[in-house]
Amino acid sequence: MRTQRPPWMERPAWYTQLSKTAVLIVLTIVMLVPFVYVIAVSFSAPADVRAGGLILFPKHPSLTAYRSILAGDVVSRAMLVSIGITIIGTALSMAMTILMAYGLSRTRDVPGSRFILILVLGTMLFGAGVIPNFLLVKELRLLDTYGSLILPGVISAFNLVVVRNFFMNIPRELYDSARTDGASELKILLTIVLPLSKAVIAVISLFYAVAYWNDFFNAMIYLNHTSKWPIQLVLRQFVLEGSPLGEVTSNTSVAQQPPPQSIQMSIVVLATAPILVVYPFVQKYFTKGVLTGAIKE
Amino acid sequence: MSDLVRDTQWTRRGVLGALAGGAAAGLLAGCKSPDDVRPPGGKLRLPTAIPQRRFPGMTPSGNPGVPPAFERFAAHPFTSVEKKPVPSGKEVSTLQILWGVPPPSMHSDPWWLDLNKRLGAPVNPLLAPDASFGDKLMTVMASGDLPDLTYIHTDYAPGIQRAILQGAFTELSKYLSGDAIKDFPNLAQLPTYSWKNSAVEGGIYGVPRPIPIVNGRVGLYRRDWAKKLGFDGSPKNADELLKMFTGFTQEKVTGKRSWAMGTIDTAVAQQMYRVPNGWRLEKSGRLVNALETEEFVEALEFMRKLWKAGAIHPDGPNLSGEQLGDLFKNGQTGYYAQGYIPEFGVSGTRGVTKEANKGADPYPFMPPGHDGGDPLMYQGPGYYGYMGIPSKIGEDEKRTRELLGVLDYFAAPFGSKEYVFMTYGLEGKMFKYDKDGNPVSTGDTSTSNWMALNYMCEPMEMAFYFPGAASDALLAQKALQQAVPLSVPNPTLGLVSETAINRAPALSQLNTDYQNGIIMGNRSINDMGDWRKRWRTTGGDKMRSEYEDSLARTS
Repeated sequence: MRTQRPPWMERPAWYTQLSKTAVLIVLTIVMLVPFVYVIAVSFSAPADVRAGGLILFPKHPSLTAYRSILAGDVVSRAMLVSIGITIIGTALSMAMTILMAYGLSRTRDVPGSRFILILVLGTMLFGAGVIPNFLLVKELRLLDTYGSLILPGVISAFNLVVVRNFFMNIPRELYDSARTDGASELKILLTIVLPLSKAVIAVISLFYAVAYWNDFFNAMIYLNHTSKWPIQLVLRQFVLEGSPLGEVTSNTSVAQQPPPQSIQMSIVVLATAPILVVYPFVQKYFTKGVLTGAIKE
Repeated sequence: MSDLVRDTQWTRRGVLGALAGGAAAGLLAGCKSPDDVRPPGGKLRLPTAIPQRRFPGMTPSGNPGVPPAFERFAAHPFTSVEKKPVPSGKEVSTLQILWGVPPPSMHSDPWWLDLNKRLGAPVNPLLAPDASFGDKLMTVMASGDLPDLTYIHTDYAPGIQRAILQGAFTELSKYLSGDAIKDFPNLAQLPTYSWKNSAVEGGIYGVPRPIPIVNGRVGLYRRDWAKKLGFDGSPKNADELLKMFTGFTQEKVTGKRSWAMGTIDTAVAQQMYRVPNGWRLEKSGRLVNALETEEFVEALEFMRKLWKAGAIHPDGPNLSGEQLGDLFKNGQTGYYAQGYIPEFGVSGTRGVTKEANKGADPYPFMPPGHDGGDPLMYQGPGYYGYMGIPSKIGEDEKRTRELLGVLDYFAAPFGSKEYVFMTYGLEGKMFKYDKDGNPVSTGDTSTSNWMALNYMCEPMEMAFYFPGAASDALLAQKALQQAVPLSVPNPTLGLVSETAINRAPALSQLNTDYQNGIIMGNRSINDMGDWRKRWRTTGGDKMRSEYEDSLARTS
């Protein structure tokens, strides 16, 4: 999208533009270097990583760390679990958030909606705590199920408020005219409200997806079998433990084994890449979506 | 890090543990309130010890606190468990700590399937990552559905001590005290100190996982750097140690920017100045905290000098254990202490450092006495957690015996067939024997996570045996033989203090703040008075009196 300078704004002096450019370049480098470092270390030969120093390009490219991680099916299985949880969780969360937000946005038509909204907001201020939540999940017979990773947090109060505010900003006349034409509430939601809310849907979907993708604590508390672990929990183990190699019987040269740093960086790449891929597709909605509700008419 | 601080190191899981302890224990103990602590009292009746079997290549230490060394593996592994321990065939559920990568599912894990066959029953594990074990343990406790065998460690969840005293776990003296333990001969070979120290107020609530009694206190130092600085052997007193450690910062000696220590490891100075190990028990029966002694101040002064000389890494207080290990392995620090066994062997710190740094000579290091005499070495607990049996399950004696039989299998001693299976896995797939009869890796990394279930009470840290680095075994044994006779236990081991459970995070934070502040020069040494006063009023005095009461109940 091309932005144009308003006619009343003067063209900035060349030195102002130069300094702005310089600052932006420095900031870009500061932000990109860690990413480049992570990727470079993950693809570097073990000896280069052990030698230490800043690696911004793999001198001797190697896939040793990736081979080590992907040996066996732990990581690939965990990736599948995470992808499944993220897709199903995001879809469910969006469906439920939209339905609830729509209901709560119709303050005149839904009796008690303000009270319900206060209850929802209350969850942003007060949390039940780990053990009460665990007991609830246990009583719901959700322990050790994928449902335990989705249902306890299926609606985020913050996301709900953002979507509700967006819906409230849709002109009331549109609802009235649809109703005059005989549309049901569901039809109004599907054919009028949702097509006008693409920006907020895209942004909130991304919020939910990132939250599901990154979550490890619920999995750690609610899942009993490690075969159900999502990638973030496996990632955490790799990062904290450093090495996946059994060392008890190891008599092989340590130079042949990937150092903990390589293992950590390669799994960071594996765990981050899928969710990063989504960003470019929703970027255009960001400005509009994030500003939702910022201006009250 | 000082023992004082290390012993009460708190994390989020610790806080959770303390907060949840009362609730969880209350649920387990039915109508009892969290404050209704019921100590078993009485004197601990220790299990009778059966000596370890001897075979060629073994060098016994002659000291019950020092493990034997083995130049090679047993030529003919013996059978240590004759019958399958679970004749009923009933599934054995466990809550275990997970150190590495999670295992494959049971049907894709040949080692797990074989374990089931050997035990006579399927094992259904609940594996919790070590970094979050406290959270998991306390939530599972709160649910009231504890598995048949549950890993207990008070460092992860201090509140568990309260739950134990309220009767959440079976008191096992009936099965394990005295000669009764002979029904489980492998358990009887676990070191006596691990039973003694893991007991809670005179009761045995689990089977310990033994580790050396002096652990993390004999570190490694760069003997090659010390030689360049003119030291023929270890430093003889505090002045020489200061000279050596400051010398480790010279780039002409080390070849790169370097430090003596990666972190503020006060244990070296405290042992050198003979500061009490946590507490000192006076003849009158009064406990004196290390913080309250003059030796503590002297050790602190020594650390201040080290910091001022630039011998401690400036980011020290914020570095992780792994980063500290990497600094030593990369040749950037000259002293590093960790768990004792992982310091040795080809893939241990010594082996990795030697391979990564040409000419490096990482050598075991015990601090000297500050005045040229002996240091006061610190004993640790000598165990890393224990496997308990919930009291509900312990009501069935037959089942309890089956479960102890399972633990007996896991505790198979070095040289037995069961030890080979528990430590090295499946022959051909996970390891093979080299020409000298040593089990070595097949190199197939896809099998490295098959044995994730073996961490219960196996005694793999009770044998100095390092395939590929045979001489390390005798070196490790020799260093520990020097340290153990000079070591003392923390007199509060096995005692219970409600304040220690509840106030540990606050006290730990207070101690860390003052200690690091004084060493780093942000506070004056004259702040010691204020520090002591605040420690006493924040819970130190109460903790002392509770420990003294607990001591009176058990002696």
